[in-house]
Amino acid sequence: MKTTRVSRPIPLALTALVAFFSALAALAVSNGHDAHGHAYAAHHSRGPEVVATGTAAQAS
Amino acid sequence: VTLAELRGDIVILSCAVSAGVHGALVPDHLEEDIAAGLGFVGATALLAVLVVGLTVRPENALLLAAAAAVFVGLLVSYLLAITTGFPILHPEPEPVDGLALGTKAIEAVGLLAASSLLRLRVATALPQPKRTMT
Repeated sequence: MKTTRVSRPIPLALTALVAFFSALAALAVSNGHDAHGHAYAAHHSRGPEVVATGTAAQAS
Repeated sequence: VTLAELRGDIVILSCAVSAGVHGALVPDHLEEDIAAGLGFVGATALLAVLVVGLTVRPENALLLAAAAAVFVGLLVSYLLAITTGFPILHPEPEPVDGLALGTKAIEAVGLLAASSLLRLRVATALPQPKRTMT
């Protein structure tokens, strides 16, 4: 019996899984950057309020 | 798995990774600028079509050439985006970030695999010169 080997590329389901996890990784990385940016901005915007509250507490 | 098959799989996987990353970044870019967001939608759609096309018809040289052209387009677009800004879609240059650099590295690997596979196909398709005994 003669058998011929048919070469097929990587299965589409596996490729879709790779694309899905790439998207998840991209979202995690980009949200991490955003969260860091927001935390930095929040920290810097809160600074003067803390000082003001502290001053008010000392004055009373 | 032969080396040619492996190269074909690398091209498909590079398209898949790039499609996933571009697709995930569509909402952020649409919020920022609708033209840039639509550019990302177009890139994702093109890459998804290439993934399906190259999986269904791996022997199609036209699809392979299209994949190489899309990778070149994406790499040149990013180079423009971080230097002079991309005309119309993103005129302001953007800062370099790790995620983009990683994605471009994968696209460059995909481009190398696609172009070497194309060269291989051309070499096997062309008639070989007859060897003369001297």
